[in-house]
Amino acid sequence: MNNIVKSQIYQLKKDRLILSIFILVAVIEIIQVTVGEGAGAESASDFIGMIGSIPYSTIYMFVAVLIARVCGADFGDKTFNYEIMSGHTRRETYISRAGISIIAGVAGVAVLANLSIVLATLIHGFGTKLSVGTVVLHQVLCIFPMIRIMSFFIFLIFAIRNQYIVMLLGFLTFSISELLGTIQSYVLSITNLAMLCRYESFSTFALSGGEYYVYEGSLSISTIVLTIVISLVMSTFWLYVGYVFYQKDDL
Amino acid sequence: MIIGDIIFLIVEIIFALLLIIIAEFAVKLISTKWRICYLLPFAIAIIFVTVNGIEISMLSAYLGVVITLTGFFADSKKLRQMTGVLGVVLIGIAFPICNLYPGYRQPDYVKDFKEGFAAMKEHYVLTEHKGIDFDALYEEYLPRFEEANKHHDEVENYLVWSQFCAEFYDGHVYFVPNSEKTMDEGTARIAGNDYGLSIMTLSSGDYVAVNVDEESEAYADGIHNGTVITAWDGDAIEDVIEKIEYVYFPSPDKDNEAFYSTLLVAGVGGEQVTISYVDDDGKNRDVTVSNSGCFDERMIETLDIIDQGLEAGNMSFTEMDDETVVLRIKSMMFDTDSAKQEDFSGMQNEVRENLLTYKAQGKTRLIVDLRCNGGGHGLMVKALAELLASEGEHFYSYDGLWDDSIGNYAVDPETGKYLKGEGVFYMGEDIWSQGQIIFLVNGQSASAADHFPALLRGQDNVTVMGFTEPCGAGQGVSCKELESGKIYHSVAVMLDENGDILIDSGVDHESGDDIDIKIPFDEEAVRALFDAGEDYVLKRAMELE
Repeated sequence: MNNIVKSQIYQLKKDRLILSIFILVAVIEIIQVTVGEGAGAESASDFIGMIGSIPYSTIYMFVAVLIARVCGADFGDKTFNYEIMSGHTRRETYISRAGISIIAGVAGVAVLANLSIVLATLIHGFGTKLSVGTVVLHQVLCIFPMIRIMSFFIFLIFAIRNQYIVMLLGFLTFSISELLGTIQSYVLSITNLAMLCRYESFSTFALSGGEYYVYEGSLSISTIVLTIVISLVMSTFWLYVGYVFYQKDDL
Repeated sequence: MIIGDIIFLIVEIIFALLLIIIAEFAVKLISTKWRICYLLPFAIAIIFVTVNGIEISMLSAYLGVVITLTGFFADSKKLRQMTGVLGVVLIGIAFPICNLYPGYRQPDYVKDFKEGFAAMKEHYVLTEHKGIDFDALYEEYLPRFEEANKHHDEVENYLVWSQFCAEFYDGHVYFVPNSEKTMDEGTARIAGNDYGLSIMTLSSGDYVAVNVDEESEAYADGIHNGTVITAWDGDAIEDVIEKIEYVYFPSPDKDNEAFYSTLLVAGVGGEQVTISYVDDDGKNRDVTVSNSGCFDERMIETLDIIDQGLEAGNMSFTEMDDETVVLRIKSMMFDTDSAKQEDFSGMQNEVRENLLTYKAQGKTRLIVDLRCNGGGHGLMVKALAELLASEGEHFYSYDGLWDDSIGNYAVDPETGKYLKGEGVFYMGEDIWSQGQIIFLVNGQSASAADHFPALLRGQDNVTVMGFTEPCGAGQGVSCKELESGKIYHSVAVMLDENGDILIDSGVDHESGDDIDIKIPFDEEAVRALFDAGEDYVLKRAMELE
């Protein structure tokens, strides 16, 4: 299995499409800070409260491409058949690809989801609207529903066996989300990602003009535990379903 | 049942039936594509649950969906058919359960209370000023919300919220349930029974019958509008007031509270009550009368008659006679654009033009009718005050100083008072300098309608009058949305010139917007309002020299 893992890592490093999408999403994140939704923010903490789950709609696109390439590219050239013929089990070929795509996905999501926050901090300072600890907690927890989404994409690619359809699904999710804000919240709400990204806001006003905002980011222990447990259970479910498919499928 | 749940159950049943039908094909034609079909009910369930939310009474349907998933893992035709049938049954069972379970799609009232309470505890700006003990309120009200939740009683939830809000004696603290029906049923529940009359307190302290139904047993026995009531079902009226659990019309000011305190008295009792009264010959008499329905309509009608304002459109002018014109302001809102852009210059120009026209016609009395004006935008008040205030610069208020680092208003650690932020000032035009300006107010003139007369009071040509003072709620208001409704409370600090809280009453229950002439609520007023159907307050304003 080590050999398959090594080959996947090598393939990942050399994949220009994944790198291009990663750069594209990173650029979109930067635009959000400078001229997009978060342009009016006074500080990074204000920016985080303002943008909510917006960055994740683009990250969705990256995850779809990453998984489609890592898990699905080898369906086209029969690499799976050769691996199995050379003595690897189906389980090894499945786990190595799923494992690599989730690890790479988590790393990519961690970078992309925090890039705009780091940039906003460099430009405006972090500010006082939210505490650093609160933001870190939210950002770490967001990884778990993302793992769940990645697992779902892994299931899809093994069920459909066509990387381009899965990529298309990722792009469609992104474009529909951008066109219709309500759909975006529904798409992300299938997990609790939207809830984790949304900070309850309290606002008040002054007769002399202006509004004051405070964001509330505390999470209950039950929310934290349920986020982790349900995400991992559902991830296991989708990965298992994907494996059941692949195990019995005629390659 | 909500339409989303009905569609979900029907779609799932159709899918489960289809899966039973295709079980044979799925076994014969071994292909992963057939297996995908067995995942579809689960995928659909995820989408519907995301949109509709989880509902405990749909548990059997969720279980049915999970069972149909078995077909994905097992190739047996028999097993797929059996799980399909079981799925259909379990999903189908959800229909009667949802219809019979009283808690179906009921918001969690306890969770709502905790959320609303936490928001108020954090951001309510008059906690110190009014001496609110949040912890004690939590201890007192949590069990009552738990009871309402346990009994799935939406109306009780509304009533407990109303009671909770009354503890703040702040016109800006109130709960609005999602459904108007809940509010109406709540009013009906606290109003009690109708015995054909209402009771109000005269300025002399006597309790009198008002809004007496001429078809009632009480009227037949000799009780009419203005008859002094000495006891209600054997109890002194003060004792009945004490016994009433709910407050229908909480007031920030104790004088206003006393004025409206008898509103619920005439609804207390069972199938029959004995009313003790003084007849027209001055003799004490008793009469036993029967319940003729719910008191809510009569109570609201009584309040409407007392607190009526001129029947005219918002911001409209009505010429009353050669001398008098009335500007009716039902709400401190003009139109959507002006509120959105916070620019009331259009409204100001329109009012200025009208006032100058009436001035040219020789009108010398301007009555600004603010009765039952629930408030609105402070900048509209500023624009109106600019027209009527004497020439020169005038003070409106100071905003509280917002401290971003604590996410709240800054407080002076020594005095405990809010620190002053930016001040709001305005320049007076004095365009009605030739005549009187009379503000008509009542206990329902709140918020921005509290501000307007308070700004001009003290000016030589200005008189503020009514049966009561205005409501007495001067701070900025905002709401927190909950699952069962919205809780409004004071969130924006507004201070007077000395840095004290603007208008709102403190622990002494005395709000800072007194009036110049408190019209006595006496026998003459009762007869004028309830017998002659007159607008007594307006009449008195027009008689003012």
